[in-house]
Amino acid sequence: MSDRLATIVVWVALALVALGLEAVAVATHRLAGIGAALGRLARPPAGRLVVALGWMWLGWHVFAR
Amino acid sequence: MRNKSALFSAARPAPTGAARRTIEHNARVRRRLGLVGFGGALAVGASFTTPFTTGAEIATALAIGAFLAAELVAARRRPRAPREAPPRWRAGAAWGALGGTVLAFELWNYFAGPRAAHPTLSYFLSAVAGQPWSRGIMFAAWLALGGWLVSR
Repeated sequence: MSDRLATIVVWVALALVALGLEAVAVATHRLAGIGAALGRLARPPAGRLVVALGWMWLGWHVFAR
Repeated sequence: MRNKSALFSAARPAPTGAARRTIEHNARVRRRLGLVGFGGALAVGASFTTPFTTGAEIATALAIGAFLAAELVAARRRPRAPREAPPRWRAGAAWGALGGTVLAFELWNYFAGPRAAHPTLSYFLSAVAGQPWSRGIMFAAWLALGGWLVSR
């Protein structure tokens, strides 16, 4: 297996884990969904700053640079 | 001499109850429609730009500026939340672990290189954002995420 294929397989596996976590959260309510987890992270001012900076960095990185 | 606004307010008493709620609701709807229109126009504009150009930087900077302005306004209106009991650790721990794994794998790929053999998330995102229509959709989704953050 090439490095490229192995890397893509890991990325797909991580995406599937994320989808699985969200599915478990929706189905059982025993876990926080991604929205609830992000919302909880953004509740205290320091967490809000981190999420806001992450949002700004993401946009600048993907669309401007 | 009474000024014009005093005469106006004397002739028409301030709305109360349901009328006041309707006026506030309509103002909120107008504000939201304005924001959605601004965001849509920005996303369409951004869809025709390419990275490392002034146009792309201006479109992204406008979005970030609007986000910061909206966040400042929202922060003033947001009621101070009462101190709550800390959440159960497992509720968000799974996402924290996944986020940490993604970050570690991203950094490992970034430094391992070459990019073709070790693609990063940015590599995939740049490929997806290569077409104007997909770039516009991604820009709109990014704006929606920022709007969601401001509204919380």
